[in-house]
Amino acid sequence: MPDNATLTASQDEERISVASQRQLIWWRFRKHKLAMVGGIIVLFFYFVALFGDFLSTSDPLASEGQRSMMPPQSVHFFDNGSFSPHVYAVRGERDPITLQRHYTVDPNQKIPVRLFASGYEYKLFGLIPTNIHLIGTEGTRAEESLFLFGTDQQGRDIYSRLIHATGTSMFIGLAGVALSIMLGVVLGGISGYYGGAVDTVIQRLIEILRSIPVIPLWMGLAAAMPREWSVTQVYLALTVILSIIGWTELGRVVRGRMMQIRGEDFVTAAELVGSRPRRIIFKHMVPLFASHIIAATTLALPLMIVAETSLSFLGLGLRPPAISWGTMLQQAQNVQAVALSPWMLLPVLPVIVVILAFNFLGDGLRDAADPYDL
Amino acid sequence: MTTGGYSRRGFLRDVVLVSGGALVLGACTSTPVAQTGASAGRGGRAMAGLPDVQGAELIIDPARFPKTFREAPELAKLVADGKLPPVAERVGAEPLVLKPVEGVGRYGGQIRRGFVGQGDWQNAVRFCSGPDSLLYWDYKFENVVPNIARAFELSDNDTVLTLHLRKGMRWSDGHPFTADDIVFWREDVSLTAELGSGSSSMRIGGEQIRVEKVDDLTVRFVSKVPNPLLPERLAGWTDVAGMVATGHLGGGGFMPKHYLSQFHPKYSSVDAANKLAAEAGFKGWAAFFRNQASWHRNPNLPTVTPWVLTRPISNPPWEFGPNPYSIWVDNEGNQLPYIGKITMGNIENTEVLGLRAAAGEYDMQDRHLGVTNLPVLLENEKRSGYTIHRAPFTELDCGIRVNLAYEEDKELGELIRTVEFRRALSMGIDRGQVNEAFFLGTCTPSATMAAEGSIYDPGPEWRTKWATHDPAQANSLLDGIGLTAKDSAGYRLRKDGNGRIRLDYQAFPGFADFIGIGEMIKRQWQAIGIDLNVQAAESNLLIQRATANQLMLSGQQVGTDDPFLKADTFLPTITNNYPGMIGIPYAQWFASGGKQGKEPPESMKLLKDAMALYEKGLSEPDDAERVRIGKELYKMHADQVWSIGIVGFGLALNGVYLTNNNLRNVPARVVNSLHMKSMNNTYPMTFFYA
Amino acid sequence: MLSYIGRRLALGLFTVWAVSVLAFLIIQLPPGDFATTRLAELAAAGNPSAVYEAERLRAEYGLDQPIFVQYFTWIGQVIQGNLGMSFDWNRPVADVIGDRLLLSMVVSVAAIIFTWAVALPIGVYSAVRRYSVGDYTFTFLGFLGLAIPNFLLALILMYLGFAVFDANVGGLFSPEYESAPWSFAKAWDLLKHLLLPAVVLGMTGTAQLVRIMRANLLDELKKPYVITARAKGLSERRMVAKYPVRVALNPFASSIGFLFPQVVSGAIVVSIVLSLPTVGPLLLRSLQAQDMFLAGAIVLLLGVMTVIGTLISDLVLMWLDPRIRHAR
Repeated sequence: MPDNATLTASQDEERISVASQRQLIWWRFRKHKLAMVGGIIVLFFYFVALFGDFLSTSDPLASEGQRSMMPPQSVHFFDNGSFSPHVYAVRGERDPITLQRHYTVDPNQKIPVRLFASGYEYKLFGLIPTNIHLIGTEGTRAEESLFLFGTDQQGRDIYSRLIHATGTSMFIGLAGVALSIMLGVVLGGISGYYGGAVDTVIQRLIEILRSIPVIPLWMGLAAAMPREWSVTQVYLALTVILSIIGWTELGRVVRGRMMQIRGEDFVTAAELVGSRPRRIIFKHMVPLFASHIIAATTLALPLMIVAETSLSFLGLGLRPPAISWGTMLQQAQNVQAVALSPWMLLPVLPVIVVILAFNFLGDGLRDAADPYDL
Repeated sequence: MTTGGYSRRGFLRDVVLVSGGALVLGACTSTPVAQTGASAGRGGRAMAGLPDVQGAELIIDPARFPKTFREAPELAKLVADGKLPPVAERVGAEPLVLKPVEGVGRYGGQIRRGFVGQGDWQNAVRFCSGPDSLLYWDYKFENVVPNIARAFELSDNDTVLTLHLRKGMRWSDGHPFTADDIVFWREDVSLTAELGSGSSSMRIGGEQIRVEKVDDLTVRFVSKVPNPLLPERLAGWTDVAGMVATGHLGGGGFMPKHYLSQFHPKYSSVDAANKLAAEAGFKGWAAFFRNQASWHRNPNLPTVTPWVLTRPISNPPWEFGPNPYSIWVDNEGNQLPYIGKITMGNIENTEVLGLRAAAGEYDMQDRHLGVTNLPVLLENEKRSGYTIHRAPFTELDCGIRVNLAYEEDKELGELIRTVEFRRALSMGIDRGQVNEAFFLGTCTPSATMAAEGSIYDPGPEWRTKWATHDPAQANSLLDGIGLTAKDSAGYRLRKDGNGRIRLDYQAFPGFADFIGIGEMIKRQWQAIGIDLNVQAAESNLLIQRATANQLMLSGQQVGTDDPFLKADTFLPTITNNYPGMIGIPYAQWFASGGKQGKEPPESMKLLKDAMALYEKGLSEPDDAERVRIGKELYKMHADQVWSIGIVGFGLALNGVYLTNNNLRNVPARVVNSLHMKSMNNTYPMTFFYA
Repeated sequence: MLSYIGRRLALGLFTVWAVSVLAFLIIQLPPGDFATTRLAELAAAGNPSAVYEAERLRAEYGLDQPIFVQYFTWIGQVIQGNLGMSFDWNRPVADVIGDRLLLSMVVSVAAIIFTWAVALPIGVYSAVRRYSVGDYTFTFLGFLGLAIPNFLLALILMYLGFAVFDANVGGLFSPEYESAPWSFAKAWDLLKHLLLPAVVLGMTGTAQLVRIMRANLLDELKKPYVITARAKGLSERRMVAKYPVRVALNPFASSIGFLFPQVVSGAIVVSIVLSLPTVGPLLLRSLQAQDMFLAGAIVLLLGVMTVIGTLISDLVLMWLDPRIRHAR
């Protein structure tokens, strides 16, 4: 059933009939405005992840007890009418009765803020040593003066930690999803193609994995990791654990599609020509629903990110000193933060934005995936 | 007849909490900040420090005893119905007389509290158990005083402790409480392998302490060597100090023979006892016996506590009702408690507990009010009608336990056993920062040390011994032991060429954020070129690693307020649990007299000296000499940095208690010590509603 | 048909058995055992010297035996209907779970009702008014529920309830009703406390349900019978409600079987934050404490529920849609 919007004019029809499938998908996708926005946001987040150190202002581990729980600073852009961005110096004191730290702004002490300032040393992409940061201060170290999103309990800059957390959280999703897609396609594909005993075994495996509540599975496997492992290794292992559970859903879908097209003529033809099953599955059958796999990936990523935050909450996922959205949210998960230091909750914003973006992107991709549909 | 003359603990009289040179603690009745300007008097009082320690006065002089007795209306009704004997018979001829902080109260009401799961069984033990130890401390934590026992005396050579029981005292089911109950506990529980394996407090000089019944109301504890600390053990937090605290572990000091003997094979047969157990779903009589001896689990267990269990911890809410045979009475003869009912809700997470407290849903709460939630609690004092009282801890809240016997990595093990290395680590820590970030500035920076004013306090100079933040000196100490090679990032290199010197720090969050503290120290140690690997681990895991001698450093509460009564983390005395991680193989070597474990090497010779001093102090009959030994032990510990004390004497560990503003007889401040079984020393049986 | 059900039941039994083995292995994976938990407790209580307790516990509960021996002892008991004794609670496992199962069901049902009450109308609206402002707004709101980590939402809502509305904090009952026998007042108290968990738990599922409902209904709206109905002059509202919505609802009916186990295991984090006396926190604590029998029983229970749920939903689907029946 042709969609009126796509086929208004005859030259469009002309164009469509000669376009490649890739082009069709792109055209279709472009029409999905929300998906486009989502895609751009996702790209932006990966950009932030890649340039984490450059975008940070302070060393995310620089702690200072005298700056514990400092509220966000406001940046003033004009000084006496001329453009000269600056923040004011802040002094903190603990109230002896309420035990809260109070911070007062010193209007006499201006700290200029500028672009491409020098700050802490780091290696861009882990290769090029530099100390240039997108935003920084002049005259003082940013670690001592610039707190765009305030500080946490240990007096660390939340803005810079958030930037660093973006990297961790955006990539933990990626690795985990990639693995679960692989497992899902391979096992689902085999299950659907061969059917019979192989199918029964894989389907039982899926059912068993789905029948075990995820928390004990996570706990058991997370605890089984050797203690010599660094935070990074644990983190990688975690993505593997996440994907061990994550593949079952896709596995079922792939199997269903495989069974549908198993009997089609082109499969029989390929078999008659003498292609080996591996070639038939991955060369002829899987590409048919490759776009669905892409869409599934986009929709699985936000689930991974959510899973990471709740795992960290239970003390099972990433743990400090690793910096991720999950560990940051875990530190905000107390009455003190909610009641008195709500800026500690800021990490929830990128989580929400990126999950929305992924969802809209995924929706658009799924709609666009089958351009001949509708 | 009374306590013998040792007034021992003068501490905490004039303690003012100091942090970074400034007074930080408010008065107990703190007011929101907006009000301080209006009332200079309150602000001034806040700056003057905390109020004096208060507590109900124990009346020992029989001349001051009340002559007539009264009881709660619900109990009076039971008497009228003929279901209970009259109150004078129930409290016995020699009741335990308390003069409340404010005055005589009236009956009625209930106390609401919160507890956190099955692991929190000591919640009630440390609130409404009386306590039920045979002896107890006075509220100032200075003298051991009679408690369940009417009086005690120690023989001249400190080998025989005689306890006198109360005439006419009864268990909560009305059965008389006699010397047989103490002997039953010792012989049939404590010394029965399946139940008690002997209590560690009932051994001295490698010998078991003998318990002898003199008559129905008199018992003698006979030790082979002088045992001057036995009264303190019976009074404190040990496995002989009260049935409710350790009965389920086979400890306690006494047990209701008339009730528990039915579950004991000695009084029937193993088969009969096992059969009873199987009927209740337990594997074996011993497990069943211990369950039946649990105050928090078995409502049928006769006790001598002011409140008796009415609903077990395993079927929340956990509830208590008045003990009709309570021996506690006020100075006018009213049987205590005034408030008959205690109800404790099960909370799955401490944040909810904090919020509920802030909402005024608890009448008395002390445990699990985390120090970081204090500002929220203080802010809501007015609105929700409660008051926050501060009771600073008598020990060090936070430090790094060091495994002196670490062997897994030979080079690091040798470094840890090098005193200059430990001193450098200690001087690399900025304690003020830890105090500010994690304890709201309520603690005092200190080496592992006794509280200021404690009888064992060797003096203020020892509090800062190797415990000031001095990276320059730390660096020169490290250079001095040959750790001069550094990598490009400034970290010191190992001598065997395997990269950086990288220490392991493992902790579980617990009552303070010990992971976060580790992160901060990791940062601070960067300046002295030492790399720290910070890891979070479950407490179960830490225990396993500790007993396998795999832990290196661990952030936790460290030290002790009494080196003889509780040497746990202070000296290698614990052979198979996490608190022993100062050196479990060494502890095994000391405990077995050199047969097991590992002998401390030459570099740890001073540790052997300290252990010898400790053993000597345990049976030192001269109080002054024992105190001198105690001070010496603290000095050695601080000088050798056997553990790295960071901050302490603050509010993190049960250091605040919240009470409903309508409650009366609430002490403005109490001593917060394990030995006091705090908050029993608020004397909740004297609380009443205005 | 009967033979199919029989085969499925046999396979289900196999799955349950496999789950029991896996569950047992997984619970054993973390280092230590319940005796270590007890030691940790004693250490925290400042009573570290009572070590003999741990060794006794190991011997009494057979924790020192090889794992397969422990497994067969356990499963042998379970087959006889005896779930054993919880180490942590010192009460029969069946009692401990029993207390909380009912409340778990209540919370789950409340959350499901909330989800459906919100998601179905929005789904229908979004499908009928496709690409309208309302469609975008509601879809966005639905996704927001998916995107906000629900444990944080729970804490924030709970705090707001306390700070702004003076509401009771956490749990399912006010302290005065906790030990009271059931009465109208107690049920009302429960209802008041249910709102927050129902909203927080329901939020996550809402977005997904909106999406499914919208897609299903869009598919149906394209079908010829809709055109026929329209052509016959049925009012749009009646037409939509009468035919396509009903058909689009089928998949929901079939998923009822899974909902409970899903909500129970998905709700652990929220239940802990809100301190709900449900099965979720019990499971977590039993796992942390390595309370083998309790944890094993809960995992097994959830596994059985999932297997039964799958079976029921498959049967419902077959009953609803003959095409699936033939495909088998």
